[in-house]
Amino acid sequence: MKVVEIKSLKKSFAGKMVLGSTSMTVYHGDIYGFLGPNGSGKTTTLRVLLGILYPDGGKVAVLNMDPSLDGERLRQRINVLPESHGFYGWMQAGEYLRFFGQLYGLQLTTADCCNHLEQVGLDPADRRPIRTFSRGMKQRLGIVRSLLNDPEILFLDEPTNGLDPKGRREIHDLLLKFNREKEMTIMISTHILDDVERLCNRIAILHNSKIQYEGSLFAPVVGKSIRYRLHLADGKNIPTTWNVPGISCQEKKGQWVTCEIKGIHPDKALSLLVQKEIPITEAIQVNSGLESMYLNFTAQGKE
Amino acid sequence: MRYFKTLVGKECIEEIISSRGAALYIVGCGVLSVFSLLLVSNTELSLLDNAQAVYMMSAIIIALALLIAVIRGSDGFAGERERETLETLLITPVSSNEVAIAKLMGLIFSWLIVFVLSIPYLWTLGSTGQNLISAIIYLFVAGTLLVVIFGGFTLALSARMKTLKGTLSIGLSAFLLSGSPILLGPSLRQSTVGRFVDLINPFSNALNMLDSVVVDSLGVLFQIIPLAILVFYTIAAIWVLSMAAKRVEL
Amino acid sequence: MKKYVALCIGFMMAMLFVVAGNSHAEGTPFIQVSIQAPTGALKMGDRPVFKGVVKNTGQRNLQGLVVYLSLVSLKPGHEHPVDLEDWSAQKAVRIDQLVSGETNRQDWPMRLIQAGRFGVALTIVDPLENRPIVSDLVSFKIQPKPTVASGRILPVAIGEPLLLLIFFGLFHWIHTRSRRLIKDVQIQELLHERKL
Repeated sequence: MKVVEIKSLKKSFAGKMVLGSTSMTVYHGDIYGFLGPNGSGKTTTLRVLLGILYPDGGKVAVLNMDPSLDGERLRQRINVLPESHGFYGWMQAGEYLRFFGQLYGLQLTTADCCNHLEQVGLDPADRRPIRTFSRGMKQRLGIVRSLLNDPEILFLDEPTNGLDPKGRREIHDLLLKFNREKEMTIMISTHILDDVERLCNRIAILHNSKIQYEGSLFAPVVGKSIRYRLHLADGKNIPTTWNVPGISCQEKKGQWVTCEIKGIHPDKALSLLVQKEIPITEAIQVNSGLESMYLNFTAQGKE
Repeated sequence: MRYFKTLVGKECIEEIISSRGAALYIVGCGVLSVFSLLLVSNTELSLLDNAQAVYMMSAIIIALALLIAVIRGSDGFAGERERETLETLLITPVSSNEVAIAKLMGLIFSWLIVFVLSIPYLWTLGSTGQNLISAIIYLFVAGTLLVVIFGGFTLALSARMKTLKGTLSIGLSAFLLSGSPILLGPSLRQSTVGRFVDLINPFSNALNMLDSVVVDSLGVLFQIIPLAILVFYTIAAIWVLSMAAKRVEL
Repeated sequence: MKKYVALCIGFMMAMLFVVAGNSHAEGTPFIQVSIQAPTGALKMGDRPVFKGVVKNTGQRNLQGLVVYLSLVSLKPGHEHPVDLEDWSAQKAVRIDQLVSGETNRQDWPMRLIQAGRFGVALTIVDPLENRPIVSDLVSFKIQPKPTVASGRILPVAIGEPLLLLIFFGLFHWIHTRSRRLIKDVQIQELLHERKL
């Protein structure tokens, strides 16, 4: 089921085209990664989806509603963590959640606030005003605010900004949990490819006002090279080349071989190696090839 | 307007909690104190009778309230935009119109605080003279309408302009422009141009209304025209605000 | 002897004439000056005009006469001269020339800034004479005007800003402290339950 559908979206600011005929689709249950260089129009796209910015052309549907016409009804069912989000510095964390809860029609009790704050690693007993919080604490508070109304779709713009590695991992686990248990569709706009690799199943790369690539994170794509580490039963007689198109050996260390798979699905590549009687006992994916794919598409876009 | 109560509540609490809000009221009180002390210590001003003293104090109170309305109105959207809290508010189910009206109610709450604070000053100046109760009633009515007018127009400006500085500059300039004819001498205000400016200027209208009630002891019938002009401007301000709030710039 | 007596009488008469002449010069001024208060009741804030008249009753023409106004408070027991600074912008005038028999009239506008009983007089100085000439003192009463009761203003002017400062401080303290006290207890109970 399509939850977000954009067709030929156009938007300009002061004569400068930011989005030119952009199209993309997000399905129910997706964790959708939205990538692109700075200034490519990711935030503009998100704002159009929320109904707080009006497009110059094209068709936009979120949960089968037009955001520019049904914005208030739509925002009841979705939520957002914007990239730059301020806080009312005089409020305490619990007060802040209660205020935004009321805007979603929720009457949060103290227990509710405690649960929400603990979920993201914030101390419920902390009574300091928000202006004294660190950047990471504010980011966590923003995330918990964006989850208050159990949204059907959650839009996140740089959600792990300011978080330490442990914090990032906690947020990843939280998002995966919500996606799994509540079938929440999540759309993440980020520069951190690790986050995308860990969380997303589908991605779109926006560059030069257009979507350069949209599809599965795992699909073989021209220009995308995936690294694998293969453990061989016999480390002594490893051939220098394997004569399998799309697979090249990079490094050998004992019984471990690092190879690069390009232009072919990794499963197919591994099965071809097995057919060649190469004794693979273990295959570990080192990267998804996302970085190379991203660089390839953003470079192509420049041309 | 399901979330109206929540939004207005937040605006009102912020008024009192934030140090900026408290400072404005304390300084405002200080201004009223200085003026009331001048009324007894200055040779010129001490010759005024109670009614004139009450009228002059009312004018100062209204000017103070309008200054606060312009400052807070400018901050309404532009300040939230700069503090990056506006987007967080607009992505909730509330409409931008609800946010605008809630902010206007916040300005009226500010005015109510100023009005309550000013009553002791008016009482000390005018309780032995004439028309104190009328002065207080007309001050409340004129002040409320003027705060909605100036606050509404400034909020509308704030919704469309990108920066707080720009909004504040224009808002304060408009406030000074509307107050400047009052500084003209009586002979200039009696001229054709002066009378026309007095008629279309809501600030002048309000002060003329107070003058006629407090000093000249004229009744309600004489206030119909100035009140009508103030009501017209009030409706215009609310309409302009709702138009501007429909497409708030982020 | 008769000659001697006649000489003495003649000398005495001559002396008498001299003295009389001098007395005439001292007791009969050659300038007449008067000031007139406006008619009607006067009250604080009024701006009446006092009328001054200077007449040269002497034989010679007068030049460079200086005429100035004096004001005194006649409140019984508290008589004192009053500084005209706030009362009148015109405190003195100069008459260039006053020919014999001529009359000069002046207007002396004043602003009545205090209530009470006062007296006003005009004084003329002739640079060639060593004794100024003063008009009769004209007394007048200024009625008080109801003004602001100053005694009540000070407590409000000082007290209200102070009270406001205390109020905001207290409100801020209550907002953080009491909610902290209430919520802390609830949160501690919740956390304790979880541990159990």
